[in-house]
Amino acid sequence: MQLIHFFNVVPEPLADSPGSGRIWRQNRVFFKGKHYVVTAGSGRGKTTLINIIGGTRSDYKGDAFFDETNLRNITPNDFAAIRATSISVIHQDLRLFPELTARQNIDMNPLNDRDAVYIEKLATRLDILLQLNKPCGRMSLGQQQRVALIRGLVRPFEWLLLDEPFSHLDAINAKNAMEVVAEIANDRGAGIIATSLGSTELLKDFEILEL
Amino acid sequence: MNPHLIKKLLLSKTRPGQLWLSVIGSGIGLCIMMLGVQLWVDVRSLMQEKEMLGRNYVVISKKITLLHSLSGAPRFSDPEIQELMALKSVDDIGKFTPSRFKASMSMNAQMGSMGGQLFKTDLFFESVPNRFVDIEADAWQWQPGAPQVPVIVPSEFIKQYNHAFASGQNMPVIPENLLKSLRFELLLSGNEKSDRYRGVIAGFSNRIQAILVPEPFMQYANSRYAPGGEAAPSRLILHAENPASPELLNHLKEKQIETAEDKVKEGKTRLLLEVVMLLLALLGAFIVALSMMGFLQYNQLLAYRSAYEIQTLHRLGYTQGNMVLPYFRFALRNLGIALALATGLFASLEAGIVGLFSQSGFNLPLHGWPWSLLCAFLAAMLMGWLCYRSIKNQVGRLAN
Repeated sequence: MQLIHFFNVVPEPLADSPGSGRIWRQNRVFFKGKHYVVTAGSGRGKTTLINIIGGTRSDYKGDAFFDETNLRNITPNDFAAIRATSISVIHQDLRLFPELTARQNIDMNPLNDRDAVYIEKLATRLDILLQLNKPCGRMSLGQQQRVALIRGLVRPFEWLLLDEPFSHLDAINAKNAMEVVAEIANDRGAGIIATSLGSTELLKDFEILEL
Repeated sequence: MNPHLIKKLLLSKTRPGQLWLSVIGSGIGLCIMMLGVQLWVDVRSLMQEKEMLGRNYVVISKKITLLHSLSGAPRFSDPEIQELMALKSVDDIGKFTPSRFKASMSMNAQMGSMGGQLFKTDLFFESVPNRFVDIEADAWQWQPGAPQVPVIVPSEFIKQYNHAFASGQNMPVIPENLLKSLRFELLLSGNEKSDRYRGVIAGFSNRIQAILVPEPFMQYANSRYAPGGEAAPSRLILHAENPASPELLNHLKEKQIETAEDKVKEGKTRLLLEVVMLLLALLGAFIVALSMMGFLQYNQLLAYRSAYEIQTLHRLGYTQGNMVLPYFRFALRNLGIALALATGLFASLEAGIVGLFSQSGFNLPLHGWPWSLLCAFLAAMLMGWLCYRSIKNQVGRLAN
């Protein structure tokens, strides 16, 4: 999946609002291996963008493509299979299972292509190694966000979709996490599409797109 | 992928109380259905047990009025018979052929004390087609030229002889089974011919108040002793699925045709019983349907309580099939438990029901239980299929 191509796409809830950004109602191509950050205030459809590419929302006008394939022609089950192997999403609401431990949550990926040693190394870098056997429901939001990051990084992906990925991290942890994310995405040759409320100083080498 | 964790996540909200309620409910539902099927099959076969002249046979004749005392007994014309045959409830019609010759029977005493002729009486015979006579074919045969003629006698006849006549006249009383072993002499005459035959009683009938001989013998004897006198029948025997059907009764009433009253009453009782059984069956089906719905609802609710898990797993990349499977397996397991429960309950109630029936003098033939098992199995399969569909729909709805 080399490209994600948006052609005249606009979410139905935003169809009536005038658009002047660089994605909605535009001809926009995302290239694999490149990093993008999408900035906009609340309610401009940042999460909707992530969910359209992730295949969990289809209430938009216009057409979106993975290479030549129109997203509308992909069934929910096929989309799930694509996510399992090619798209890793880190949701704004994290989507962890509170009763499972961090380790178990990380283990819930349909496919993991990294082993336990790698996971522990990653946890050490993100400073949550000691929390790995604790149920996520008993962790702070910042810790949970890092568990969600690890879960999103140890599975195979060509595209990494990050929805407000560092919203609960302090400056040091956020910087640290950003380095880890960029390093792993580059290793995998993956593209990154991140969203942000506005602050982009951490996101070096990212193309900034206003919604 | 960690199947164990997926199962744990999806089935984390089973709520044991509700689970067992739904399992026991469907177990009871299945059990009621099994009992219903068993009773349906067995009670029906009890009702259909045949007597010599099967239960659904009715003898009819036209009402005799003063006018007929001059013209002779009213007869059934061919169009009238066809009219009867056209009725939905009538399956078959047989004509009674009366004898047109003189006949008498006598019994010689081989019993000792009396000596000489014990018994002599004038008689008349009737015959009906063989298919209306339900006795062993071997005992009810006559070949042209054979000296021995089988006869069916109304059992009321024998009772009257034994209880009223023999005791009053100082004659020996004869039990039915002894009568069957006796041979008596038949003297038939007419058309200036006269022959003796050996008579043997082939059986007794409660249902048909006539002395019957095989139809081939009747045809032979009528043509030999009273040739050329063929006449329309004055009595008919009907085979009807339900002798008390309003259609048949109304037709008979309209045409002034008489029938044995008790036969019709019995038919009405039967009809009532069938209606009651049908109502019970419908009630049972209703209960089964309710318990099925309860079971389906439980499974839908179970998935609904894990909506977050289903949606999240789907977002992580699990297909709907991945998630339906744990629910479906769980439902199948519960269905198996319900089926086992129903079978156990059925087996233990069975003994009690058989006892209840035998106290009332009925021996249930117990033909029904394999059907019960089959029906329960089929119902469980149906339930499994419905479960699969409803879980699949539910997971599909919740995943997106």
